[in-house]
Amino acid sequence: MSAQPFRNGAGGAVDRTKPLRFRFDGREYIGYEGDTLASALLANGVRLLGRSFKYHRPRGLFGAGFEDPNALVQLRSGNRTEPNIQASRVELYDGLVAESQNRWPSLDFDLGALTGVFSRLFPAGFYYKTFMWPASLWMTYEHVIRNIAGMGKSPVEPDPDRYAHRYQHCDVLVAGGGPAGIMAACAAAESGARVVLIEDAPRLGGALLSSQQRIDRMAGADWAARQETALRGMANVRVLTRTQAAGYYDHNTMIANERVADHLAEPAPYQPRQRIWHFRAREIVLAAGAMERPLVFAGNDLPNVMLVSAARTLAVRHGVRAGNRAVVFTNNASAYPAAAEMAAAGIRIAAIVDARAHIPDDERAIADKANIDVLPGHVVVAAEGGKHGVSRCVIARTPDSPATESVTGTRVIACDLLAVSGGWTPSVHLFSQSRGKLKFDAEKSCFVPNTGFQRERSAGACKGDFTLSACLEGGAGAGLDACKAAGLTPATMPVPACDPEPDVYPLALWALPWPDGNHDKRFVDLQNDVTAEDVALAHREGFRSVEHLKRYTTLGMGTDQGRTSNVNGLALMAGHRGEDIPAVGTTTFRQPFSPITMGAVAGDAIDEQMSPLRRTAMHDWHEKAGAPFVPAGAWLRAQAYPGPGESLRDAYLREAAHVRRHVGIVDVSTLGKIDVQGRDAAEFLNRLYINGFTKLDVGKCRYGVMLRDDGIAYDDGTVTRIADNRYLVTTTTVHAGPVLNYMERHAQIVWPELDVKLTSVTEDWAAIAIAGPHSRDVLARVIDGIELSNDACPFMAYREGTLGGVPVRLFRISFSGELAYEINVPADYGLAAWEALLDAGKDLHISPYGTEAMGILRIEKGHVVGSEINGRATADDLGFGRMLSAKKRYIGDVLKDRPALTEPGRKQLVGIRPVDGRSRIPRAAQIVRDPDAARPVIMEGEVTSVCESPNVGMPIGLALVKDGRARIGEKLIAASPVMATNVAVEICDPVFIDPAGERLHG
Amino acid sequence: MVEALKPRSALESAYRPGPFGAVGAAPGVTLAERRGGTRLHVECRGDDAESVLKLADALGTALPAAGKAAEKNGRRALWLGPARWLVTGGDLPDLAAAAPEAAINDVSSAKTVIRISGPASRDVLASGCPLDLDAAVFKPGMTASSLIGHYTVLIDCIDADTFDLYVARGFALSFWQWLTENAAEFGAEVKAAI
Repeated sequence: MSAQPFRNGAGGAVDRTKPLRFRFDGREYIGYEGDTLASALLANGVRLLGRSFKYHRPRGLFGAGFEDPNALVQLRSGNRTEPNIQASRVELYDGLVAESQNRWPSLDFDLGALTGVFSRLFPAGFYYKTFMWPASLWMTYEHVIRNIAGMGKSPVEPDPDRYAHRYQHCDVLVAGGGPAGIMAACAAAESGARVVLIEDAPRLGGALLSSQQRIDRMAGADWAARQETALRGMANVRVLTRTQAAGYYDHNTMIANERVADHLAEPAPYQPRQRIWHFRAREIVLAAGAMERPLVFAGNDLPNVMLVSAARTLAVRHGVRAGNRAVVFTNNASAYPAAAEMAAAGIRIAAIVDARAHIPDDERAIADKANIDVLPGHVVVAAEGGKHGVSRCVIARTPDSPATESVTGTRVIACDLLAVSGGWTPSVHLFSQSRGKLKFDAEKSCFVPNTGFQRERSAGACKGDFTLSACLEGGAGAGLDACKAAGLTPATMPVPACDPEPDVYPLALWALPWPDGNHDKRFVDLQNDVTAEDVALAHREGFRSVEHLKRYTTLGMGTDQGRTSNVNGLALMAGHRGEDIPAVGTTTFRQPFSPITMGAVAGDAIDEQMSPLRRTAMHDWHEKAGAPFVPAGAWLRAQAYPGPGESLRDAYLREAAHVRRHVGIVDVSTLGKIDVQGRDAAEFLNRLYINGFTKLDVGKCRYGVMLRDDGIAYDDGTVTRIADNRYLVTTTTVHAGPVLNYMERHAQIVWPELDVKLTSVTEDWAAIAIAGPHSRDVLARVIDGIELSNDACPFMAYREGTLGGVPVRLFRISFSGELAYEINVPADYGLAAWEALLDAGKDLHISPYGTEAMGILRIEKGHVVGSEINGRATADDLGFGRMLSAKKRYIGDVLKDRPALTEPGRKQLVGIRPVDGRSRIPRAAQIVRDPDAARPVIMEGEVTSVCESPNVGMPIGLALVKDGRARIGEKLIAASPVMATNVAVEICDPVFIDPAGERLHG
Repeated sequence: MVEALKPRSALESAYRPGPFGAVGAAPGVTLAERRGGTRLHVECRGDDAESVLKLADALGTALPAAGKAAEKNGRRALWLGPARWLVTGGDLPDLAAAAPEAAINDVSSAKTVIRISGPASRDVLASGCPLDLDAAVFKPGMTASSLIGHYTVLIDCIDADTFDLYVARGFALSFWQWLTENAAEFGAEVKAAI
């Protein structure tokens, strides 16, 4: 336990009465409520926070917010561990555990740092150049490289937390809760707009929390707190803190990630850990702020070389001195008030080293007042020190030319903190994501929004307005403008007065020369270890477009997406190309702004909610009976009902045999059912199906086949005439939706003159097929109001009656080839009807059967399913040639006669059986004459369905074989290279059982 | 002969009346399945104004316009789509006889209906529904077919914080799981089915 040697006794927004224990790399420390992990570590004097990605150089905190590229940690442990978390954004909580990354065996002694010693061997593109050949070994190299390069470790255990999503519409969405965002939200709220304000930090204020500037005669942070309370109290406003505006998409949709419980050790019961918000806003105000830019010089990555804004935030917000003796190196005005506030927090400022030769009076006055020496016309050319931080910096006169490679006449200033400011980079990410175009503001030396594309406007620092007064004024204006654009009457919005500050006009300064005797690396991208030399190398090797520069050097490709490196990198490239920065352009900003954990993206769409299940009315019964389920679309269907000691295969073979001997029932509720009504219903069906329906009588069913427009078979099913102008169409399970859409399209668009109304009634009716010699006997015991004798209710009859007082529809149809019926009852009664049938048929050995046995029974009868109606076969190929009506027009009737669909050599449906009467036929095998023939082997056909048939007494199958119907009796080979099996098969009729159909007519 | 068949709810295996989720002073939402009653799916041709009038006569209330519901004497008609309505109630007239040109289907079994109410009900729905569910926008008497999570749901706004959710029976149990999981955060209670 330590005493926080770098914490001031007072000042900052931390609560010194609430100490919090935490561990970093196994050591325990104390911080305070209000700390981030980074500020607490620095308060304890811990400056070495990680090792860099490529060279394993020691690194410390560089930025105090989003922009920090260095202090990435492995946060938490076990099933809640998460890699690459910015210590600058982690709110401290009691018991927090974090580990540094990219080091082995320890942060202090890291073997990987040897790559830094040999770094001349590791230029940009090194991995691609070196490990290119042989390509097959890349996977092996990659594995090793990833281990060396390491970026933290993914959790391996299931995530214990839940994540949620939320949709929210609003008139005005304000992204960013700094001074500009607060003013925009207040202006919009006062105008009566529905307002959402999102802010990444735990509270509103943005830069106000890190400075002592006053607004409305009070501290900026207090003003922000007052405004936050007021906004939260308004019914038309939603304020979301700890929420990152992550992505700006089409139609003014914005995605944000709320870290609901990340500031806690673990979420409260039922509380989501994070929540993804989907906003749809009429108008958006972007108030995302700006990030300070580094300067590029030798050793600029040493621990305790950090942005001025980071040192200022630590001092003002957290009461932490990042060092005791600081050098502030700047090329612009913003460092002056910051240095004064750092000095007020007890940091001795050795000097402000300012690259500008002339310092404006107002800036000079700030330094004088704080008693700080200024060295105008000077630059820092090197930082020197060790892994625990900078110990001195080397300064020289500002070089005359950016091309200067090295300088002499340097001197050294001792310091334990080097704070740098290279100007400010507006956060234009969201604007750019919205397809807005940027322009380069040479005076402010940054890219700012130019032409917008969606309904948005920027305000404050993200627009290049860096002074507080400009932020307040611009924010209010943007809020009112958004209201006006949303069709509301804007209120009047007074802008509060604030302390003045100098505006930012940086001296362009992209990379500084080396001093004599120091040739240390000059980093542009700290996270991905890209140096100024790498940019030069990319230019020499021809990777001169910014997009090529990015991919070749990995500049800006880290988890921080080059927040601090982007502008410096492309400015250096512009220098090498001898062009202006605007001519070089920028890379594209992509969503999300900052990484989002995959758990949050998935939200609640995990497990069953990833792919919802559809259950029949009898589902619970199947489940209790121990049936395994098989998916059919979203539906779950019972596969078979294994008895005690029975395997799945035992069960379905038993079931398939049982149906032909006794009686069985199967749940067929999943088949699509479409109610067709209207005066022209018959004509409509006549045009859809290949066979005729005008002569189908009420009370009769008919099998029907549909073609696609191109003449290929589409779907099959039964059509039943319920009443004069009312039909019930069944479809296959999987095609229920598509067939209804197809019918609706024709009813609404192709033949609008027909009176036909279509209703999906799949979910209304539970459907049970009862099949087997005793099916009629069982039904007779339970059905009222229907005479079931063969004469009164023949094959393909439809009747209505009741079952246990409930209406029942009865269809005498058969998929199994047995005497069989299908009954439909309202779904709420499906389970009761199922149980009633089982009860009534007990003495007749009634047994349920599943989809496996159903499949065997249909293969035995040569009935086709989706395996045969495969999108390539015609009606004639499948043996439906005689159903094709010549007396009417129907969909597909013209194109079915195309030469390619009618010429000899078409694959036709046949049965196959093993020549030896016992070998199982491999699934999806090819039918060939000689599997050992010279390649390519000529394919005669393909196996579409196979099963073991307990009723035929051998394995059987269906196949599509060239001219198959003329080849009955021919012996061919079913060859499966995949299963390395060849089985000699004989082509036979596809109907294996009862070809005369006596059973089903019985 | 068989005994009278008993209806079963699609939620039977998961329906447990009682409080669940986060503990608060009062539950943020209550959930109750609405069972029984008759539901008819009614469809006319788009140009068949006569049938629409006949149906309104038989029901005693005009069929509502797009996105609306209409109720009279316990009979409630919900707009489903152009010239399509869902008519619900305990005692419905013979609509098929009243308007022979209309297509009428008894869909009483086809949908599971869940009533959600309470101050957090809009927040729970907004956890999966992309529509604008603000109280000032989606008001009592309005209906919408939309997605909630992965589910197609007909949402019927009964009063300021009460909604009836119509979901396909086959998906009802999956949807119930979604609903209870997303309601738990707000504190919730399952009431006896109504």
